Amino acid sequence: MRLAIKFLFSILFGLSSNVMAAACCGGGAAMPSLILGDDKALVSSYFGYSRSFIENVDNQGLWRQSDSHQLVQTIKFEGSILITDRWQLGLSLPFMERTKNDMSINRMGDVTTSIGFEFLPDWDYNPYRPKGILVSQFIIPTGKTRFESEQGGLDIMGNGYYGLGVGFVFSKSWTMWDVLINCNIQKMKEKNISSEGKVGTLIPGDTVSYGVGVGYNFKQYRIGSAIQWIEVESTQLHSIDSDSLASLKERWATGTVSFSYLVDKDWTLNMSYSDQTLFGDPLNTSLAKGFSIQAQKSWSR
Amino acid sequence: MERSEVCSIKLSQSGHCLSWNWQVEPSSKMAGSMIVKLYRQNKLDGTPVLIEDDNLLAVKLWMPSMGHGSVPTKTSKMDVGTYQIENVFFIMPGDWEIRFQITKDDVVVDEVSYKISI
Repeated sequence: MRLAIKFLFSILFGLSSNVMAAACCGGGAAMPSLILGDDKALVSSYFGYSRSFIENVDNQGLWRQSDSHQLVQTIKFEGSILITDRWQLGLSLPFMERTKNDMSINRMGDVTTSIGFEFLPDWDYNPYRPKGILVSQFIIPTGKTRFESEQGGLDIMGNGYYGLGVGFVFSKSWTMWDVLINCNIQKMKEKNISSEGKVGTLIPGDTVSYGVGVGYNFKQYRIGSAIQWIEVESTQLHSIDSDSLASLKERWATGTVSFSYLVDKDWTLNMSYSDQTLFGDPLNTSLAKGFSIQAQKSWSR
Repeated sequence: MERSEVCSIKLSQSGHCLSWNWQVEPSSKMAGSMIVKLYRQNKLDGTPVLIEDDNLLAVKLWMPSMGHGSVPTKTSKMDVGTYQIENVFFIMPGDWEIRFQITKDDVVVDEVSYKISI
């Protein structure tokens, strides 16, 4: 049972780190890092590598490939700590590099801080009642929006807006199995811009993210899979002389398979493979495939 | 190779028109270049006349569905009303807009978009 609980955090980290943005150019939903088990603190370092396979899915759902692909490498440091029995804080610091043809740009991605409250505690390991955590995250942009990009999106590592998100996570484990369900909605703050000869206010659309994961635990290992769907509403541009759409609605889904190893009571290693070409009905996005590795250190209560 | 007919692309604010053709067509890995000719209407009979004055032409590439552009292009004036636009690169396939802008003192005073599918 403890092993499954231990690995549940890995699931969420896997979802967090593998909620890949639209492969071309930033965006996506910043999932928080959360303590789901019996630990009082967790830190992890993560490395991810992804490559775009479908360069563009247009507004009619037509897929277009190219013989030139964008590569994205991500290094991320995350941590969570309990401040009371049921309240916790989290922080995520990503660093990214985008490469296409001979051009490579690396920058810090958007920083995410989070606060979680265990509204449905699992004091007695009830066989039916899941553990539930409400979470809110605050996103701090470290770069420009996609609309302000000067390199076709290659110089964009995040959303570029201040944002606030709320959501929930339900988790449950039974003997060898564990399940996790999550949902998150993010609203971004509008931003005044002067770029590409346009002066106005960008009003970003909301981002909705929801997913499910399941895992099987045996000895010191866990094999898991998860799917995360993301929908981003269109962005408006309000100028003095006109209102227009800066971008259309976007939609994609990321499927992930993962393998975790409990090195000892404090250390866990995770590996995962993610694919955006298999699930959902993508729209106005690029689609990528990638892998990641993660090392996680925990402190027990 | 895609190209437009002489004076087929109209600029609404200034009344000017333009045409363009690929000099080197871009590929998925290599930037291309285009030649753009900017015309005004002849005062007598309205036929297109290459513009002599110092309008500044800029060309921006834009992907409307995904809300991003591409790497900046480079404009050079080659002759009366004739411009070479280099570093034209579409970073991904899909539906794009080639935005032809007339600027004065770094302000866009007129603009027209040409839709192209890559």
